[in-house]
Amino acid sequence: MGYVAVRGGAAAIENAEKFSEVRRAGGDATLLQPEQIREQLHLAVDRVMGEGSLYAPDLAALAFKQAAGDTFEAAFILRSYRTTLPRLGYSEPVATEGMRVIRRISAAFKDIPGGQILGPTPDYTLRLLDFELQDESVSQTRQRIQQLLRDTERLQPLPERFPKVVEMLRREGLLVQRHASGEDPGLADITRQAMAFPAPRSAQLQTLARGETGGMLALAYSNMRGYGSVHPVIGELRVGFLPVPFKNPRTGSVECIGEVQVTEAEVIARLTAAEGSARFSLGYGLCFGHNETKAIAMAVLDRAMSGGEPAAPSEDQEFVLTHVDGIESMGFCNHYKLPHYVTFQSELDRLRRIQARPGRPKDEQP
Amino acid sequence: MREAHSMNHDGRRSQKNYRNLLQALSRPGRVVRLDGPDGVLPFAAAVALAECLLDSEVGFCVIGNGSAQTLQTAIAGATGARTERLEAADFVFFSEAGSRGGARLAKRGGPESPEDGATLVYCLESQPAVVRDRFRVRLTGPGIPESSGIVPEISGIPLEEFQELVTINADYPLGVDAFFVRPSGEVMGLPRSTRIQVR
Amino acid sequence: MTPRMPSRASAPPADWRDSLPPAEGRYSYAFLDEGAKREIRRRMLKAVAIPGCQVPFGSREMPIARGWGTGGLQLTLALIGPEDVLKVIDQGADDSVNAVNIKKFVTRVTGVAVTTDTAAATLIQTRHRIPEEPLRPNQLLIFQVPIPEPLRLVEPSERETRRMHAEADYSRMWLYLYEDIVKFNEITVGARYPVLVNRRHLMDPSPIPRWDLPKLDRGEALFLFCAGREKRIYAVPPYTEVQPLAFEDFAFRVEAFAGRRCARCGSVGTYLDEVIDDATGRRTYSCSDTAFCEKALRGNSVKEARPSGEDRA
Repeated sequence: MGYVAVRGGAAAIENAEKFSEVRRAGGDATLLQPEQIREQLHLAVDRVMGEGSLYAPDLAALAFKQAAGDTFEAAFILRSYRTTLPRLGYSEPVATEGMRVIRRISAAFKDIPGGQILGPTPDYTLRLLDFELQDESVSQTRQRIQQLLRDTERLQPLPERFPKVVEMLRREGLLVQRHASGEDPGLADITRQAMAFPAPRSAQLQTLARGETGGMLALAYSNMRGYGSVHPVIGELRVGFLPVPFKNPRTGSVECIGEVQVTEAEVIARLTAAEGSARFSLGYGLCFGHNETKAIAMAVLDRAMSGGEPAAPSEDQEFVLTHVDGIESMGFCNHYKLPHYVTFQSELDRLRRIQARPGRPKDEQP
Repeated sequence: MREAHSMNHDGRRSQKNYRNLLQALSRPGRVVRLDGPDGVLPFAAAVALAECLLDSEVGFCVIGNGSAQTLQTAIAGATGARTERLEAADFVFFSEAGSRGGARLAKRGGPESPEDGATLVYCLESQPAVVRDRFRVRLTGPGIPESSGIVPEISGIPLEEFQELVTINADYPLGVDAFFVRPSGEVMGLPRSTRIQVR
Repeated sequence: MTPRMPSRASAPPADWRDSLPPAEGRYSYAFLDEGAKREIRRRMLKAVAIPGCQVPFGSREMPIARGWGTGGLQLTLALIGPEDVLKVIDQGADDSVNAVNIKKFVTRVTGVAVTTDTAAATLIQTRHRIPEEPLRPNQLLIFQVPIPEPLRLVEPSERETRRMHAEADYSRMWLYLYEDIVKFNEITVGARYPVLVNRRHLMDPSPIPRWDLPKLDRGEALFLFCAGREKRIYAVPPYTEVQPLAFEDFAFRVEAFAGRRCARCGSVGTYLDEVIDDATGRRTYSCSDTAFCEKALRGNSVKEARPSGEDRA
């Protein structure tokens, strides 16, 4: 009796939890330490922090371990932990021009003030399986890294701040002005208010910043491929650290209480004839951690939604913003595993009744 | 996960009071009783209501005679809510039984967001001078079992105020929702869905 | 081009556990913080004041997944107090895995008493059913709602459906039902049948079977609905008119069980689950409301399970 198996639940649930534990940690391998995850699987940790919308590398690493590497699940664990935290205050706005960058490139110009800084990227590495990592020697790896660090010491240090590439275009009057808040004078807070459409740009950017990387990529890709009109050029892509300035409630002075690593993308696209004058418009993407795919996809979507009448799904604000959240989409997708036999019975009743009606067209009869 | 089975005293009072407020609004015209915090008489019931619904996320406004200031200070102190112009307030408190035309100015929500309409709280006297007026009022609608309607259980609400609410809520679902509270803790709810007839 | 190695903002603490807040008192009573509770409480009042109207709220993430009852759960947690007695059902069953899981969580953060007895409960959280036993005035029934928008069937855009509700423009829903009749000579909507509340707002009653809709009409209890993922709260106060959409010549009909009774308790006139036996392939029927079935079985031991509750497949 298949359906009845979903009842009698308490013991079954407990066993299911135990079996998951066996799958996570039941093998012979050394148990993972969250610290190893935080350091060596940092891109996964960054993704979990971004989608979980909580900047907490240690907790994200822990969530990733607990979720056995499922980024949806790990972001979900982190997000639901986030809701239990009291909101103690708001940090001050910060300009990304002052970012302490580790990587910064522009595709729009061959050379840019301050120079192109490749930093850490696998973009130009051949994607060949590196069998040496199978039996990685701790001492050799450490040695290699130390040698590299010694070499870089002899180079000139990076400047404290880099000018923004898009500022050059803005000065020339080639960029259309867009405001962070759109029509709305205040800033929205998507964690406190349900979104109404059209949503202000602040709500749009917040939603995208914690959107699910894969989902956003698919939507942005559809636009780039042709279901849409954004032909993006990456004006500037930055990865680096931003200070978190916070006004001390006692003294009133602004203090830096820490740093967050972010990826920022600014894409430039020309306005279409329908959008008016011959100028460029900017799409903006920013997310926690090092996640270039997400930042670029975000910027493309932000730009795609800036036009008037949407001509493709990726340009429809309501369509994009209601479908990019991984916690929501994953939860709803999986809820179909819950029993639906009451509603199914109701459907059966309808179909049987229709089938039983006399005078049905012949071709529909079994 | 650490369990937290004990509710602090204020949290507990708010939870109980909220259940009564919910009861009051889903059974219009009936009286329920709130448990007020000490030391804020004669506005204990109003503050009890404020305590369980207001915080820094909403704006409120107090209208009325000399005691309005006392009430405003008590609410601000108990909730941390910000004071707001009458036209923009989420909660409007009248320190007496009538709104002096103030109810008319409270926000009623928009066609796509009727829920933005304000919540009005009228502070009635403990011993109303006129008690028989209420028999000229009939309430029907959601939450009221008798299709012929009922008489409001609480007395001391001026008939003009009922008339006022009829006018304000004529454009349902736009409108305001009202609570009438007495110092003793008695509360009666009158949501905008209630049809009011005054004879 | 200058290579430069990434560096973390600050060195991680020697023991990563140091950076975790202390476990003691990390979760407040009923999980939600007081601010979240107050917001939900305010929205619930507005929902009661405008029966059937969807009120948006800042839905919080819960430690159970979106789509698994986070809406109903948030209402339960915003309402619950030490004196409450909680019942949770899924598809009518108290011991369905999801119901058990939700009960486990709520008792863990509140310590309230739980029951399977409908009459003994003060709060009932439900997915897809209304208990068979009539509810009393002081009981609250909280529905988990997957899709709160009844018009989603005919219009995907929230912006557009919001307008339709504002103008009480439900013509497309009527047209949908009419076309159904033209095509199939029958309304094909199974569960989640659209209803008109207080003659004004079209409402999604959540995926309860049509069987349960009459219980919503002028019921004695307060019915509260919440969709966590879609961030909407709505309500049907007691003694409120709830009418399923129907045509004069095409009446609304509940599911037909052709006089079948429960194979277990023998009851007639309850919503039945159809169960197919592996070995024999025979179809049997039993009450979907398991607590009602238990009660009927205990109070009615004379009336044994009757073979008339079975049917050859």
